[in-house]
Amino acid sequence: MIRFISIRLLTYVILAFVATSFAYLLAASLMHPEEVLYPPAATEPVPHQTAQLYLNTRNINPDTPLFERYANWLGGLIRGDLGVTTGTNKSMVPVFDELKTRIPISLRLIVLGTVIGTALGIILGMVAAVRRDSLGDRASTLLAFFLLSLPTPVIILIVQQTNQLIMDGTGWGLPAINPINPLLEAGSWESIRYQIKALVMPTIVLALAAAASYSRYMKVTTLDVLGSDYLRTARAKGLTRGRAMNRHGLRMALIPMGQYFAFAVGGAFSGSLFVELMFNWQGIGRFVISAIAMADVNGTAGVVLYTAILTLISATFADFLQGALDPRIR
Amino acid sequence: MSEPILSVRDLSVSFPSEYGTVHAVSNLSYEVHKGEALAIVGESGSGKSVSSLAVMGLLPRNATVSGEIELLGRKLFTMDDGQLSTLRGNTISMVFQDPLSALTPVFQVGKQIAEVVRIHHPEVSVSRADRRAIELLEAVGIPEPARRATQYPHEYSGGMRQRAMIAMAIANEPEMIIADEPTTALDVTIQAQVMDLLKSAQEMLGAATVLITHDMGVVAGFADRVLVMKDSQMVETGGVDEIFYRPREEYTRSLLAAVPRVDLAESEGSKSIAGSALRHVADPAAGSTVSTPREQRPTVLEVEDLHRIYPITKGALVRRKIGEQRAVDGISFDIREGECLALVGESGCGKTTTLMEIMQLRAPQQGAIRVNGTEVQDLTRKERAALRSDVTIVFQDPMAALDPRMPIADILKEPMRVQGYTKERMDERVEWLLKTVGLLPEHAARFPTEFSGGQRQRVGVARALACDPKLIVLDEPTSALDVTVQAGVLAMLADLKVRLGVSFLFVSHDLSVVRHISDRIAVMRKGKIVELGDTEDVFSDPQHEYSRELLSAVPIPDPEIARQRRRDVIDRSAFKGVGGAAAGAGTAS
Repeated sequence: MIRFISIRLLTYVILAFVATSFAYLLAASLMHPEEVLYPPAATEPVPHQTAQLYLNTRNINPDTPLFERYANWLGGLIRGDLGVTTGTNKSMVPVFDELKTRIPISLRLIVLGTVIGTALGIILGMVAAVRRDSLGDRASTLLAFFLLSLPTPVIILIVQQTNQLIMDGTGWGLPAINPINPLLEAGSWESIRYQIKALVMPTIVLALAAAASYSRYMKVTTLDVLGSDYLRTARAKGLTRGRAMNRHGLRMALIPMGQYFAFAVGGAFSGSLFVELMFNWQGIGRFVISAIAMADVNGTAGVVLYTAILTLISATFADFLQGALDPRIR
Repeated sequence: MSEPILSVRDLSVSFPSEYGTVHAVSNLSYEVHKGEALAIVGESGSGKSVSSLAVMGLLPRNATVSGEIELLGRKLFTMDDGQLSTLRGNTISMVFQDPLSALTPVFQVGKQIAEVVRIHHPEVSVSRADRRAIELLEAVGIPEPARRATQYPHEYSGGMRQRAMIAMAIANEPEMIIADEPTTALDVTIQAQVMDLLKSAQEMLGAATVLITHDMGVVAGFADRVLVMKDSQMVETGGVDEIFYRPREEYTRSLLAAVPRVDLAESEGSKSIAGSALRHVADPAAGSTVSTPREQRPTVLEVEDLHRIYPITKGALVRRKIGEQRAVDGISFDIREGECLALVGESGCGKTTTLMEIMQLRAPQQGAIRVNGTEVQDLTRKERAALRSDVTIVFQDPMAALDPRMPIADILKEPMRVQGYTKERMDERVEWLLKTVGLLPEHAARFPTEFSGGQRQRVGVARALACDPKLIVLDEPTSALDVTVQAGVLAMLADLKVRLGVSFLFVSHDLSVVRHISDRIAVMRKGKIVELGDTEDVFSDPQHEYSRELLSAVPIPDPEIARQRRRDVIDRSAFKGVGGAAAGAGTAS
C-alpha cells in the first residue's frame, strides 16, 4: 500500500510538473510583456537600458532564449519560488505570496460549491430515476437542461437579480458583491457573519451548475442499477423497493459517479472565474484573468500549477471514494 | 391431496410496447402442492419467466396483470409492496438465471446471505446471522465456508455463485421456491451439481418448487409434473412420465424430439422419439459419406503442438511478469476433407483461443498450423488474404455477428468482393447460397433484424460458405438458439457437410449437440486435448476420466434414467446448524 501511494505521488508530481512547464513555455513564448511596457499613450520611449533591466529582473526578456528563461524559472521552482508578477504590474509581488492570499478566498467557494452541487445532483438524479416520468422527474430534467444551456454569467445575473428583488420587496437580502466588508472590524462577529452571507450567492451559482450536470449522470447510472439483476435479487429477498434501492442500489449507482467528481472540481474552477469577476472576489479566478490580460508569464504559470494540484487532489479523492465504494478495485 | 401452496388461476400479463400491447402470458392456470416440483418448459419468449415474476410480484411497473394468484390462501394481487415483501425471501424465494449479475458486487457473499435472515428475523443478532450464513454456505457445499463468506461475488466461480443463491433461497426455509433457468449460464458438469443440490434442498425443506427452463434434459431429473408453454399460452400439462413418454400435443413432441441425446447411439434411435429429427437428417449423411478411408483423403487443417501462453503482468509503470496463463498448451489435431471434428470442453478450457490462433493465419507462439499443407507462417500478406476464403468462421451469437445496417445480400457479398469476384458471379452466388442454407432468394434485400435467431445463424453460415471454403470453423453455432431451432440448424449443417464436402471444426461445450454431426471428437481441458477419437468410440467407451465426467453430466431427457443418476448433495446437518454452528463460530471469531 505504501509502495502504491508513493508511486501515485511520484506520478502526480511528474504530472503537475509537466502541466506547469507546458503552461510556462506557452505563456513565455506567446505573451509579449515587452509590448505592454510601452503604452501608446506614453510621450517618450523608456531608455533601452532601463527596459532591459526591467525585463531581466523579471526573467521575461525576449532577447534571452526561451529555454534559458525556462531554466531560470525552473531553478526558482525547485526553491519554491514561482517568480514575481510581471507584465504591467510593476509591484514585483512574488507570485507565491499572491497565490497564498488568494487561494483561501477561492478555495472555500470551489469546495463548498462542488460538495453542495454534487450532493444535490445525486439526490435529484436518483429521485428522478426512481420516480421516472413523474412530475418531479420532468421538472428536474427541465431545470437541469435550462441551467446547462445557460452561460454561467447569465446564471449569476439571475441569482443576483433575484436577490435584489427580494431585497426590494422585503428589505432583507444578501450582500450583492464583495466577499468581505472592509468597514467592519476584522475578526469580529459582524465581519464573520457578513463573510458567510457573502458566500451564499456565489456558492448557489456554482452548486446549481454542478448539480445540473451531476443529476443527469446520476439519473443514467441509477436507471442502469434499477434494471439490474442484483436489485431484483434484493427485492426477492424481501426488501421493499425503497430499502432495496438504499441498501443495494445507491452504492452501485455511486461507483461511476466517483470519477465524475474529479471533473466537477475542474468545472467549478472555470465557473469560479466568472463568479469572482461578477461578485468582485479577489480570488484566483480574478487574478488569472488579469494575469493573462497583462501578459504576466509567471503569474499564469503559477495559477496553472495551483489548478494542476487541485485537479490531482480531487482525482485522488475520487479514487479513494471509488475504492471505498467498490471492493473489486481495492 | 393437500391444499395447494401456490395456485395460479387465469393469469394474464401484458406489456405496452411500440407495436401495441404484447401479451406475455395468457390465461395461465396451475397449482403446486407441498413437496411437489413443477417444471414450466418453453422456448424463449413463451412467457415462462414473466409468469413466475408475477408470482413474486416483481413485474415491471408497466405490466398489466389480471387473474388470481393465491399463496397459502392469501391473494397476492390484493397485497401492497410492503406486505408482499414480508412473503418474499421468507415464504417464497427465487433463484435467478444469471448468477454473475444476481449478487450485488460490492457486498460480501456472507453478508448478502445474512441479510435475508435479518430482513425477516430482525431479532437475530448480526453475528448470529453471519454464523447462519456460514452454515448455509457449508450446507450448499462451498468449501471453507467461513473464509468464503467474507469474499465478494467476483471471487466466486459461476457455479459457486449459484450455490450461494440457493443458500439465500433456502435460508428461511420457504414453503415455495421458484428457480428461473438456474443452470442455463453454467457449464454442463456444474449444471448437474447445481440441479442435484436444488433437488436435495427441495426434498429437505419439503417445499413446493417451480422450475423454469427450456431444457427438457434438466426437467427429466427434477420435476414431478411438467407444464409446457408456447407463445404465452399453456400447451399441455401432466406428470413427468406422461409428458416424456406419452405426450399428447404436437408441440411437446417436437420439443422432445429437438433435444439431442448423448445416451443413445444412432442404431438405438427407434426406441425414443428424442433426437430422432436430428438423426433422420444425419442418416443420409452417414450413408453417402465419401467412401474413401480417412487416411487417403487430403488434410485440410493440421495443428501441431500449438501453444498460446498469456503472461500475467503486474505493475503500472514497470511491467513485470509474475506468471503465465497456458491458454493452449501443446495441442495437435488434423481435419481431413469432408470431416467434422468437434472440439468440446467447458468454458475457459482454451477452445476459443485455439480458434483465434487458427483464424489469424499467423505464426503461433510455438508449434505449427498448416492449411491445405502450407505452413501459415510462410505466407506472404497476399497469400494470407487469399487463404482467408478457404477458412471461414460462424460465430456464436447470430444477433451480434451480422451488421444491422447491411441487407443480407451485401453481407453475403462482402467476402466475395474482398476476393475479387465479378458482380454477376456474386449475384448468382447470393441466390444459390440462400437456397443452400434453406432461405429464400427474396430474403436478400432484407435486413438482419427482420429475421429470427435461427434464420440469422443460417445467414451466418451462408456468409461462411460464400467463397467455397475448405474449412468452416463453427464457434458454438447453436448455443444461443432455442432447442427446436438448434435442431434445424444442426440438420442443415450435417446436410451441407455431405453435399458440399466441406470440413467443419465444430466447437461446443455441449456433448449432446456434437454427437450426431461430428465424425471425431477432441475433448479439451485446461489447454490440453485429453482425448481424441471417433465420435462413436468416445461416446460408447470414453478413455479419459474427464470425458466420462462430461458425459455423465449431460442431462438426459428421460425421467427414469435421470432419476437413477441423482445424488443427494445437501449437507443437512450444516443446514440444521448442528455442528455447523460450532464450526462456524470457531472459525469466524
